[in-house]
Amino acid sequence: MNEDRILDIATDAMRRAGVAGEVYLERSQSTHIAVHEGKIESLVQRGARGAGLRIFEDHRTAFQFTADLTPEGLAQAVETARAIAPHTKQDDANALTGVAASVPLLVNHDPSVGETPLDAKMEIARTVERSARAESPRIEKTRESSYQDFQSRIWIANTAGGRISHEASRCYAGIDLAATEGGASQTGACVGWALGPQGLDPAFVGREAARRGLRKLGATQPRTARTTVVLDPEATAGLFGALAGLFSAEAVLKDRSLFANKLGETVASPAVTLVDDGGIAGGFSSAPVDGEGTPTGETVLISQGALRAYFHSAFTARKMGVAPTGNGVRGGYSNAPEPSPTNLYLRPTGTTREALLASAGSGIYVTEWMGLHTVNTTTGDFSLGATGMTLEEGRLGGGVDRMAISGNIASLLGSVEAVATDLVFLVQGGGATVLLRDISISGAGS
Amino acid sequence: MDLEPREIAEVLDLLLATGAEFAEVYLERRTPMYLTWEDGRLDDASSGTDAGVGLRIVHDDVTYYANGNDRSLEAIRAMAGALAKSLSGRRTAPPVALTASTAPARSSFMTPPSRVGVEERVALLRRADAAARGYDPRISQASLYMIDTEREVTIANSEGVLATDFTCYVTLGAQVVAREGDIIRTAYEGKSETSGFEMFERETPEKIASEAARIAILQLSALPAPAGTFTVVLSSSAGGTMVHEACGHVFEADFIVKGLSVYAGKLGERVASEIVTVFDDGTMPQKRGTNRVDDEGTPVTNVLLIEKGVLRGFLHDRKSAKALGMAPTGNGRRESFRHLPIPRMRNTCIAPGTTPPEEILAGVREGIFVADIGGGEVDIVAGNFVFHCSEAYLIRDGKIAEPIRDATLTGNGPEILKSIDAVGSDFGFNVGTCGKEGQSVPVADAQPTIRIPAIVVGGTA
Repeated sequence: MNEDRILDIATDAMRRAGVAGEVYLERSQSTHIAVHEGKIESLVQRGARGAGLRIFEDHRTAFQFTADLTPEGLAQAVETARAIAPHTKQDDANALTGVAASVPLLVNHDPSVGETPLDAKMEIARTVERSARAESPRIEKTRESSYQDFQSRIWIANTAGGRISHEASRCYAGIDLAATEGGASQTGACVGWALGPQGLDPAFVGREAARRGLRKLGATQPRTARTTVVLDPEATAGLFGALAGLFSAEAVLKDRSLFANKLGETVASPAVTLVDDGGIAGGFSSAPVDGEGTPTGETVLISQGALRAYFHSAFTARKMGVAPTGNGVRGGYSNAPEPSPTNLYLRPTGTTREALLASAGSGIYVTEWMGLHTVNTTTGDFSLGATGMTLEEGRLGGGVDRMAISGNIASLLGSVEAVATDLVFLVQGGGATVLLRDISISGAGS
Repeated sequence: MDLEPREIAEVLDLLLATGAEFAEVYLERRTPMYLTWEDGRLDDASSGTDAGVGLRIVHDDVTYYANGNDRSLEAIRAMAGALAKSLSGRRTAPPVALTASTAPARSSFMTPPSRVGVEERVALLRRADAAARGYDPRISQASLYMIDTEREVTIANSEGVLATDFTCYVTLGAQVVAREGDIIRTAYEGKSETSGFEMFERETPEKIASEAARIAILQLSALPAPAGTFTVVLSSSAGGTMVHEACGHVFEADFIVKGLSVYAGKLGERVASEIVTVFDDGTMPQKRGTNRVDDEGTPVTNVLLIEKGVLRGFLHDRKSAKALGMAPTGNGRRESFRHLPIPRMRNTCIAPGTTPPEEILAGVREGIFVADIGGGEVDIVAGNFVFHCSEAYLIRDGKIAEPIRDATLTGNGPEILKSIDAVGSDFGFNVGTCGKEGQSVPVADAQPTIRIPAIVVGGTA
């Protein structure tokens, strides 16, 4: 049964039941090739097709997903949702969301993903591993070198007659390895992404993972101190991804964000301009529309230190009386949309990475975090494990690990002195080198 | 099960036709329901059915896996034919004779979620909400999460295994916010079991919600955690998150096979303090990591990992067991039919010792007492871990003193296991969802009160 027919059946079932609603239909394929010691270890091919249905009745809503796309399966999903909806809260903001009249132009799909032969994809995974091993004889062990790709087509249709569709593709080359010396081992991992296989740089991914592992060998534990901290672009992307909940309109409405009721207030240093843009070309989380069919776009969350906006789903935007921002993100057909960040990044302050490091002086350069999911965006408190390098007079030195960096997000955002111009869009989000002052580090001694 | 055993055997024959040494059919159906409760009302209701099939063949140590949502015999036949085309040889495997597994069920399910109406779930949430808000006027927000799932799997392979497993998971979590002036603190408490809704007779909604409220109120008066290296007493009430995060992953035999674990090649060697015994038990009734069989059809077992400090075993799936010439242990788990099975923990525990917990505390002049811990993370290769303490206190002269907040513990798991210098006679559980290679599986963990002489505490004071 073709997709338009499925959408017709689902929306007809809703209309017949006398409810408004939308159906989100997804069809996707993915490939995962794992290589270990030059040999293919596994080849996984995944196909998925399913629908998420959301109904609105009497200003109440319920969500049902199903992989059974037969007329009976879809009718059953509508009926189950109708049975649950009366138990949910009544809210004027619960109403059908209009989908975009047309899909904004965005290059988000590379058809070569489906046309590239499997052998060429396997070679990408092998190249990652080879280049990692070529970096040093101390790279002896790998967990997995991989090539992965993902292609999907999404349809969103509603009972008001709206209907749109768009396609996406993503490819990845990655490796997880161990650098070993004198019985001690350290992990090095790296993943690169592109819309199509040709956009990947597997040799770079392998070399970079090897370098990450190697520099952690013989890492020392820094002493407990208050010091300057410089964040590697990937560490910046990870940290700000973990802080994103602060800007969720849902968290704000539920009084679970430190930034609730603070629009217009100064919440960060003037060096901080934080942007979310779900429609940016070359962004990992880019799509022309969000999971509700709302066009994506740029939302300036913090402008030169002042809190300017939150990111919204259609519900939260209606609830707060603002325009939707295109952040009603779905994790797939089995997830209802909820306000989530897309491509979150700090706007560079004009300094190059080199100039930033030179001005930093001495301190710690952080490359990796542990425990990012424990950041508390309600209270703003955080305490994270960190790994990195020493920073001596602006130069990167030996590896450091077994340290924790703790504090409150409010003071952390206030301590940002500069954001370098080396902004890249990683799987984790937008990242640039960032200079922080007066940060508390726990390590050896008290 | 939508497929008859003879139909499954026919699919296995299709998979073996081109020379595979091993073939497997994995069928799964799950029906999750997620309810969130906010401001005294049901905020979100989401549910559905996910069902699908995963087909696997192995040839010359290469695994080929295909999966999809369509479980009709016709679709599965087509998928099997396409997967078999990955190889181009002739059949070498002997005929398949399926024998139904006799592995005993481990958990019982008196009231499965499918027999519980939305209104009954709402009534439980309402009770939890009242308990959280009634605990103290300073509780400003109570968000509740109820997640329940029925999961039914059928696994059959070319070696004749035919196993089914039916598991219900029931979870209730309470996230509460306490406010006093400008001070805001949060706390989370959750319980989860392989159980039907009868879990709420043991773990009442009131108990779960008021425990979250108690910790949030306590945090209002908590001091900032100190930074530095301290002696830590980890209470049994914290459960076994430390043993899971800090040490558990290094027992997973895929890391052993690839030489990535610090325990590779060390069976029979002393790897921990001699008062430390560690095991992973997939048979514990109603615990969150328990099943009847693993996701390859191997019956679950109780695996001895460390016995009085000596390394005794690893956690295996079929592949790692074959590579090391050992027996599978029932730890081959997968998130769903979309994933390949890999070695995973189930219910990971440090065995209780003989020292009364009060005695352990009494021996510490200055240190940190950790009563509860939240999430954590580990770097498996180096063994470094971090986890967050959700309830902790200073220890002064052998006694629990002021509460502290937002402390993290960071260190090296295998080194910590060597340094433990006291193991209590008590035993407490915690539950979690463990992530590895992008796959999440339900787990539990437990430990007695233990003492770690020196560990890095991340704090700000």
